[in-house]
Amino acid sequence: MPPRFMERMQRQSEVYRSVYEKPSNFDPPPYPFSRSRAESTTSRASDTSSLASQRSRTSAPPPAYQSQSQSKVCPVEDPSLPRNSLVLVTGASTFQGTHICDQLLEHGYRVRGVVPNPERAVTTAKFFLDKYGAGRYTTAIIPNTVPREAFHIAAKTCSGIIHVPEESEFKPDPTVAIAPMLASAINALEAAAKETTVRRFVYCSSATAAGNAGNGRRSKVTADSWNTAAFLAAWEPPPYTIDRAWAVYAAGKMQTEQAVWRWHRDRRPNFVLNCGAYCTATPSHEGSIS
Amino acid sequence: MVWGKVLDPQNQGFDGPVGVLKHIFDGNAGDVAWTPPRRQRLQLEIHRAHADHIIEYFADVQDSALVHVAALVLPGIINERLFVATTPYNISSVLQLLRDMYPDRKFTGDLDHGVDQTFYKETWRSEDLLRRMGKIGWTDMETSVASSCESFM
Repeated sequence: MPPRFMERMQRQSEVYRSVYEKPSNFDPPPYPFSRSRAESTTSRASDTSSLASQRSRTSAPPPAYQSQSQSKVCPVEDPSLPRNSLVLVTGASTFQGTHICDQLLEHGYRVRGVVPNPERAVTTAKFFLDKYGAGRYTTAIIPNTVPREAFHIAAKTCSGIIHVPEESEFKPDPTVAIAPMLASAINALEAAAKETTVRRFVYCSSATAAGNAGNGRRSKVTADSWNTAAFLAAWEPPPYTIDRAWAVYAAGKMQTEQAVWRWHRDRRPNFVLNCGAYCTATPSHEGSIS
Repeated sequence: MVWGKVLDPQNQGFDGPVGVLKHIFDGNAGDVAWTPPRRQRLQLEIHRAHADHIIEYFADVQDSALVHVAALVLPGIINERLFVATTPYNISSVLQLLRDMYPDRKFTGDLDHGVDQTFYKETWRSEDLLRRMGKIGWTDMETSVASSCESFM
């Protein structure tokens, strides 16, 4: 019988193969992530480009009939994305996603929101039409974000992308729960890399990806922290009882964020990647775990 | 959990973190006792010491959205992880807050929940970005929970 860690790595590599369609050329996470190393490899990013090139890369201005008076003046003097740029927000109908769209529109950006079904498209479009006028918010309906190139058409002519993951059900089995999270984030990154107009990418992570819980001591979380405890607990051997669902969720968040950083470091795309980690739990079926 | 104003309560419903708050508000705190911070210890073969899930901070959804927008549009933020975490809480402290806010309503469902002892060292960075976007300081928990509860009633 092989040792337990070999079995664990076998299960992980199957998940990675389902996402990348090939065996991963690196060890499965957790990697120790060092920010200084990432800066040294991916520095000289596109933030310092001249104003002329910045202007030439922005997309066409919005139609003139929309009322400028409703949107608040952006308090940033020299934003890296000019006002009226088009921003793609995936997961635009989630609780966090609607607020991100709302703040973007309020700061004078145009938003293309990715929603899972036509009903959500109608309700969000109607809400933002009433609030900000015509021509500011459009939608792209993508029912399933897991297949490859899912975001390629939606990302056309966007200057920035904010990837908000869809609220998913809590599942205790890591081999089925984690692959969709990974695939969706990688698809968004691939779409951003393909589109030359994209200058910024924000991945909406979770604070559970970094916070290391449960050793009974007061722990400090920094930008170099990873939730390795949840990772180890999630990839335990198979009796997948329902009380492990939270650990699987946290491990999925952590592995996705590490895959995002890893992808950015390997591919060195022409955009800046930031990860926002807010405190969240997004169960879509409460009460089934007791 | 992120709590705060629900933009379109008729169509959006109360999914996700607001749903958890609605359960607490309605007195069904037992249904969401599995959310962190909880003290229940998982029976795992190895790594037994790591199996608690006691991390849960509160953050306001609009603050969080503003930090994400700042990460998108502000110059000089390159390849960073930004943490948005304001106040640690558990279900009992949320119930106590609700009792102080609505003295004429009854709130039940106190339970023995865990206590978060994590400390996010770099939230000052997000607070700095928030200030550059024109908002001074985090929204406190009372304001945020109140704006969520307005949509329940």
